[in-house]
Amino acid sequence: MASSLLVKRSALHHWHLACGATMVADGGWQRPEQYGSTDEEIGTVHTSVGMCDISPVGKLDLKGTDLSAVLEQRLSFDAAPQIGHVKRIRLTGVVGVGGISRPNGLDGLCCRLTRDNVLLTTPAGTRSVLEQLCLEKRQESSTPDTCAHLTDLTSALTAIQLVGPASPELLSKLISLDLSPSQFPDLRCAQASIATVHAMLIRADIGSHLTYEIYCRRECGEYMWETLYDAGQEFGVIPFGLATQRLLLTQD
Amino acid sequence: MSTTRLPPASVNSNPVIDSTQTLTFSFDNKTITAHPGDSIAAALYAAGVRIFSRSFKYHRPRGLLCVAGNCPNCLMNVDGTPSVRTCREPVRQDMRVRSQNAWPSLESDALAINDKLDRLLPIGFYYKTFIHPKAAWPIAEKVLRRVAGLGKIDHQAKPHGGYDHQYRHTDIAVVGGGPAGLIAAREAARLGAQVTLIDDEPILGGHLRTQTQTYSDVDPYSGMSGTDLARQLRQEVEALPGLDIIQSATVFGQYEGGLLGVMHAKRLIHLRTKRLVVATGAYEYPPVFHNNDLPGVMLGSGVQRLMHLYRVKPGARAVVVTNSETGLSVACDLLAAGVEVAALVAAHSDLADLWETDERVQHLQANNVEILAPHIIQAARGKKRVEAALVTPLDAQRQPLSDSGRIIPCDLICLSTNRATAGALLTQSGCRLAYDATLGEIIPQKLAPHVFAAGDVTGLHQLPAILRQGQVAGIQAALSLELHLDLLDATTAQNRLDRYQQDLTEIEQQYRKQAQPYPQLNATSKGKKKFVCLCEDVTAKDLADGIAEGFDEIETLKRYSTISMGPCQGRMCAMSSIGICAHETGRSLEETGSTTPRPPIQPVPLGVLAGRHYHPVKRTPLHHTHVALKAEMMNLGDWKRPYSYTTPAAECQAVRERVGLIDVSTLGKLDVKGKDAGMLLDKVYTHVFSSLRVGRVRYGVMCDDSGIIIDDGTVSRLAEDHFFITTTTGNIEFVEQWLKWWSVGTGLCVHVTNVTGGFAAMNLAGPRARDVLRQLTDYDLSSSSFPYMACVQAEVTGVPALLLRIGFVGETGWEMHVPAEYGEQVWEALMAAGKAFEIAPFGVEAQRILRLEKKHLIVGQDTDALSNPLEADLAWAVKFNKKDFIGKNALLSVQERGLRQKLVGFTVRDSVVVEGGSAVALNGKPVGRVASARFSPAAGKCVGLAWVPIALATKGDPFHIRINGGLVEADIAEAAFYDPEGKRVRA
Repeated sequence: MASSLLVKRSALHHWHLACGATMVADGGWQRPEQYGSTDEEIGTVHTSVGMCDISPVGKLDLKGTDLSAVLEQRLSFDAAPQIGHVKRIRLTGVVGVGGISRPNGLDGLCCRLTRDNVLLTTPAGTRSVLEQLCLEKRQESSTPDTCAHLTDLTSALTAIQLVGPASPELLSKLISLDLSPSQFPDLRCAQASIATVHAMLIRADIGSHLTYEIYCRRECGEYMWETLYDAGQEFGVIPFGLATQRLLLTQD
Repeated sequence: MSTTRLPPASVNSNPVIDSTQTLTFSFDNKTITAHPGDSIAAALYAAGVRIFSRSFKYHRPRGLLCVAGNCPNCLMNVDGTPSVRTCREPVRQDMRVRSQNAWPSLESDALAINDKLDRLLPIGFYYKTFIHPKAAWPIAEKVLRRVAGLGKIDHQAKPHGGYDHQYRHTDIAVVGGGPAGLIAAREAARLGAQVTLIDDEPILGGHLRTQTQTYSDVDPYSGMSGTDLARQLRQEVEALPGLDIIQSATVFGQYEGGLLGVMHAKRLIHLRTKRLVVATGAYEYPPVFHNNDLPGVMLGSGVQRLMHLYRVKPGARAVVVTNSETGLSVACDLLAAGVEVAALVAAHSDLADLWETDERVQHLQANNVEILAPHIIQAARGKKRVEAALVTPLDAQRQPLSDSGRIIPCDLICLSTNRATAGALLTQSGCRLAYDATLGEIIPQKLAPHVFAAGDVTGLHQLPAILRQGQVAGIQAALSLELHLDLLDATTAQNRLDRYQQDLTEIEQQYRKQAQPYPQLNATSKGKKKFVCLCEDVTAKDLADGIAEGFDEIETLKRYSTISMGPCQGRMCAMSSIGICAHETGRSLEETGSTTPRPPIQPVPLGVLAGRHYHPVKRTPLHHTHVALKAEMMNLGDWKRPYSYTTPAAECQAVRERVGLIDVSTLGKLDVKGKDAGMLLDKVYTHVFSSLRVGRVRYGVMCDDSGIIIDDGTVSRLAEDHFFITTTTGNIEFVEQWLKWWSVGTGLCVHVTNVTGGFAAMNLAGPRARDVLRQLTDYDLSSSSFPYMACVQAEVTGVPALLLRIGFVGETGWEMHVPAEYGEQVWEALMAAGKAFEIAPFGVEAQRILRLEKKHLIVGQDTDALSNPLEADLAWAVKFNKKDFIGKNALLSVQERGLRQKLVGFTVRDSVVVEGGSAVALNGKPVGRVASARFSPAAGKCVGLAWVPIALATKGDPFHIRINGGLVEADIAEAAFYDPEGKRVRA
């Protein structure tokens, strides 16, 4: 009964199609390879701001009463990230978006939203690796009674990446947080209202590129994307696809 | 019209206009030529326009006065927007500018007759007249509204878009881009602070941009002219890193938490700052004398702005009135611009001492300018424009010797007399301001923590003081932050600060010796058209009358006379009104006090405050499928849902006879994990869930403490420590919070996660549902393997799915939850598999009919804030034998006192369809209401749910429903209208 023809579509799938994006299959997902010229996309990211649908990113919600210990144990952190901080999780031997693999492995993110709530993100297609990692460690754990639970939110959240020097100014039209470098440097996270929708905002720069990731409920995905796109018009925002994403990841 | 532009070389300036280019715009259907950078008012003045508006009450002609956005005289309609300050608004090609509050034209306004009728329109006349006869008031009101007012909104105009908001943050906000603000920003930024400088002009420099005189005692800038210094400071500041400059922006208020409201064109900037430096300066305002509102009476600073910024020649023959050295500069500038200066009227008693060595005095004398001192102006003469000035010498008591007046013909009267500090932001940020008798101004007395003031706003109008104050404020503000300066830098800064403060003390002492406030004329003295408030046409006599009527406190006088309540927010009138109030009541100015400048201190269009309208829209994963199917979509809360694809009746028929498919993704979905999950659910639901077997589904009702129903839904147990809950569509956020709230601090191991968007949910229902689903899954769907109220995790068309065997619409059916990203394809697979059975998608309306036939209620539609489950006929879902649940005590007491009303099913006898909300009537009296009603295809008549008194519900008598003014008869139905035994859902 299984059908191998099924593909995963993000909440923004129809927006991409309407924009004439070239779609490619990637890790089971339909994703925009590019919208127009990759040169233009990369150029805009370098000089202004580009936006990318990264909904295929694996998203795991971890809740627990004593998360610091859990994180240190299961993700082998020396010290769990503080509230509002993000730490990279090195996943070795995995292949991510667009066939990207790196000898040192790919980075997932461990975002400490509150004392007892963490959002774990992993490159598209690597969710099960991280999930496995968490579960295996759990079995080995000396305290199996720890009350901590993992819930997969990959389908439940739309994820949008803003990359480029104008991204904080674009966001400042929709969010009241102070995004100045001293207050919200690389590897920070916060929960906030963006254009009146609850969202998680993560700063995780790609190399030297100023990068913000926005996670909101999937049902608000199109609204969020369109709102960001509208707000970005004064900066000449354009959407970019996997081709540009690959360039950004490999350039640095 | 003739042009009166000055040649570029005639004045040293920082012009804002580009005279190499021209553009045109229309003004009252005339074409005006202007230069880019011109304000509308400057372009009009250059084109010879002198009357810019008609006044509020008397329709008196008014001309340019301040040229700085501080007075109401130049308000016009610009491209459909009323009451635009045209002296602030830059010209654009083809813009349409129209005068307002004048008919037929500005030059000859019919309602100028009001000026003659002033006896009939005394202060507060609208409180005193039009009272009898009462019937006349609606007519009078219409006329008054037409006659008075400041412009009209164009209802035909398209909505003006483009408004938005921005949130910014800074260490130090410096408000004001004059010398004090520039220096303060520079000092703070040099010490490493993040500084935001906000100025309301297109070019930084403040009043220095219009000062051609050379300054001494301002090292290292001594010997520079004001205009050069403005340029120098601007360049220094613009070169600094870490300094944000927002130009042409107005700070209209200071709010709690260091929040500044900044209006920047159509954008509202919410600027949060840790420290605030107020360098807002001071503005001139006109002294009170007869006909002081005639076109041609202008503030000296306004005349300077016209000449230096816009290179407009202000007149032909001028009289300059002053009480400070500012007047000397104005007179010299006028001479340089080729204007004849008839006289310099100075209020000083000891002029010789003061200006003995001033080169400007010698320059004036050399140009045959008569210097009259001590003199003041007593009246302006002329009909629609200034034709002459009446000046009078002062006696030893500094009161005018009325009979020795002199008439000097002129077309321009320049007033460089009183200045008021622009201290509104200081007041709003908690500083104490009070009148200083020596300076004759209201100045800051005690600053609030984290607030600093510098420049003219402190009452010291002298450049050496202004520059020092800028340095002090900038360094103080920076040092008060945690900037982690190294010791050497910190010490150096502290030493400089100490030195500057010492300097400042000396300068201030010196300055105070020279200050001479301009004499206040007697309110009741000769001449009755002595305007205090230009916005609302309040004269000195009006104020005296108001005080005589008993409104002798400044705050009550303000409310009675509406003084300081117009567009200028008291900038032109506050000081004069305080002076008159003090004089008339015999109190001192200190005792009289001042009114409170509340935000907004400048007019802010409502569009700016509103910004962009954000209305979140929620779409299900199947949204685009519905759109492609041309479903009629409806809004349900933030969601978009299909109302119907064809007709609700046809869709009902498909479900009852064949099979239907509905998108129920909008259901709220919660994932509840943890070994104590069952205990939490037992607590928040009235039913028991800890005993629910894995793989089973149970209906649950949630109540608040007072036993009122707040939500309902299904609870499925996926594993010992894992439940999946659905909630009503609009309630998900609340239920999520409610569950979290009740688990906090309990020590229970349970976690609640909102997974609403994660699943595309579809309900496949109808007698052929099994035949359809069987094609897509290997799981045995027979009732023995998959009975009613069971749940199973299985693959559907290769996609992992959670299947619930439930029956909201009363047929064999499965509610399927699949990962959202596969939603569209699973829907398509189901539709394809159902094709042979004539499957039909159905919408919200069909579902409402079908569920009503089953007497299934919808929380929030059939229940309200007074509905408890016992009266809502849900007693079967309330388990009092549980130890505790939220609402238990309340429901026990409901049980004890007995039910008062009940939600019952009913059918309507006639072929009438009633509506939700209709009254239930018994013996002609309303006793209840219809909750929902629809025509039921199954029953062949209208069926519904209604709240009726318990006696009626128990007896089961027929009752009436009021509809369209008549009554229809209805019968109570005990059982469901369709398949009362529930055989079909179990089949």
